[in-house]
Amino acid sequence: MYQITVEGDQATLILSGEVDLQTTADLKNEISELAGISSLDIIASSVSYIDSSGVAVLLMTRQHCLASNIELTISMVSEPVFRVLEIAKLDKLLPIGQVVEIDRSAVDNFGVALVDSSLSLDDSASEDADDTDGEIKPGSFS
Amino acid sequence: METATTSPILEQTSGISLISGLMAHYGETGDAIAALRWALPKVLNELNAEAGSLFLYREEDNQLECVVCVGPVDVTGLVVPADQGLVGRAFTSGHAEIVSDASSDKAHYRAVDATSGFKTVTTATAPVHMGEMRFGSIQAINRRSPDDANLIVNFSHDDLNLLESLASTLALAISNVRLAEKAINDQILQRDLDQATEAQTALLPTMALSGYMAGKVIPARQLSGDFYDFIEIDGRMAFCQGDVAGKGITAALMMARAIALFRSLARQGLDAVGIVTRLNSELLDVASDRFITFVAGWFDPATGETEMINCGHGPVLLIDDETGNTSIIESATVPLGLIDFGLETLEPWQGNLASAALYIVTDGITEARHGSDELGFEGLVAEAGTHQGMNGSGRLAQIMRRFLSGELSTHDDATLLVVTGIQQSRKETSRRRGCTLDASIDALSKSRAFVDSSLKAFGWQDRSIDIQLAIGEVMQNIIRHGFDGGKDTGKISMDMGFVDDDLECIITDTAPASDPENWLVRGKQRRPDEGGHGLNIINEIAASYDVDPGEGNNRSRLVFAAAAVDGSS
Repeated sequence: MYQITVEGDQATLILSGEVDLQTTADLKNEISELAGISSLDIIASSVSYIDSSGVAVLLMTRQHCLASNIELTISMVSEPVFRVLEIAKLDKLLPIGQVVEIDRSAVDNFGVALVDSSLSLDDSASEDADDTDGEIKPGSFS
Repeated sequence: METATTSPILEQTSGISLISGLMAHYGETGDAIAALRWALPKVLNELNAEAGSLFLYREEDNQLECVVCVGPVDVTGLVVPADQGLVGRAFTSGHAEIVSDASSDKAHYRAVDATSGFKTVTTATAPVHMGEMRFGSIQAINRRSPDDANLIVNFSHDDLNLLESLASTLALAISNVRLAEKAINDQILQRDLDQATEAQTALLPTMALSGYMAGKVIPARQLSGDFYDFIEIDGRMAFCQGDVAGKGITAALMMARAIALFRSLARQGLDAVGIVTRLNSELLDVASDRFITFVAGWFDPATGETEMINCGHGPVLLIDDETGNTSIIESATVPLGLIDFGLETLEPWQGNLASAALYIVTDGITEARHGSDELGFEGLVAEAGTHQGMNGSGRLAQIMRRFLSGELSTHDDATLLVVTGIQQSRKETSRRRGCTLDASIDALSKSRAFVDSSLKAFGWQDRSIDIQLAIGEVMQNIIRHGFDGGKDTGKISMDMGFVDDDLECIITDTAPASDPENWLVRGKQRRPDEGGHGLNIINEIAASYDVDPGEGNNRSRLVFAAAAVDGSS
């Protein structure tokens, strides 16, 4: 989930909840259209999950800002975001300010379901666990 | 010669404003000389001098070069030996001085006056230095009388004190500018290094070839001279491993070249000896003191038939699963890049890996420390003896888990490549969970929920975030490339459980058969928004990852080593 606000020549992008392929397609378009601003601050303190498509958007944003002479800051990132950037060895490339514990209340305020509370799990699949012939048993998510 | 009786008193703020002004100009322009060009007129103005110049020392040729000049004659670019001229004298002695009649001083450099018509009458020269750091000299020429601008008077001792103070200020500012320049250069170098590391990682295979081959490099520094590669060509698999002498950027560039040549030569269908002979010739064509220890071979998964040549690399371990026998395949010749193989007859090792495995390692593996002991080749043999029935990915995972857990540590690049015809004899436990999802974009968050709940049920919740991430990247690839971003319909099934103590996740999907090479984008410079980071993420988290494409039944398999559950990863 994301929200872009522009005040005068300063823009703020707030990312929250889960940032994956579902989110990033629209976000990419909006970032590439950002113009007429002098600075962009990204706040990602409420991101519970980000995948490589989200990382790619952060890098694309950096490129866009460099090309458009926009000062980019990433004032806050949550630990999960920093972890992914570390794994991808990109943590030094981006202008990260603070790494903070995830702000769960903000995640909830955005109405994004947390990973562990979004679905009720039917354990029926695990009851078929003895069957190891390679056939995948149906679970509850189809 | 009249001497100026009064001199402007250096205000406390002058020095500070000079430093801050210099730094501000440097910050704006990024050009240290431009910043000094701004500063020199301020200094000369304080002294009421007609002209002046700043000479900076060039360590490489022991010369002083005029970098900034103010006055009727521009001598910018003028170079004098560091111990000559009035500026040289001040620079060498470290003392400021006044010359009341330049024409009678032997050290005065007269050529400029002679050619320009300018007459140097009086000078004040001060070294620009800070402690042991000597930057150059600053010189003020021809002090104007405060009463008559056309009258040249001698510089006073107050003027000299002022010039020395300003020279010290300038030295501090130059030092700051140089530190800032160094910081920027270090930053640029670090960025280049990060990009080179990323590019190098992209050159290595990030998955196993259907379990027959699996490898991993643990770099000691950001850039490694170790490498391995494998590629499937017409049903057979070519493989290699190398270790470039030395480390750093030069070794990494040579490694990149060797991989590119290996792939090209393998695609031409050359046998193992042909590959190393041609590769050696190519390396000899480029003058370099670097060499590569190298192993190259071909493996046929249908029959297990294998040929391999070892060029100066460490011993390769062969272990037979049926008999438990081990043997060592020693080097058949010298490393690549040293001598022409033209007159040598190279004999490849030939054998069958249908029930055996090759462990090709660099010395970072055998020299890995286990407490105060070294693993050694014997340790590798003992370790491999416990891998009976495992495929390449499984064997690799068993060794890598010892590094991940910290049981083994290495200070050198450590690389392992396993080649085997044995397909996993799975010792699965009853702890398995599965689900089937519609191949829509919603499957991404649903699969994460499934992984998270499964890991909680397995007692692996501590690693949930990382494992969700790795599996999420595989799911993302499947949905993006197999189902056109979720526009095509189909099913994705997930099955998680344990093989020995390691967690295995098998993901099958009903998309048309997909060649992983199409989305692997190996060795190609990518735009940031093109993706590719996902495979790096998978590779960092999972002990192994392999893909087995099949029409309507693509199968991806990830293994997460148990050792890291202790939180030691």
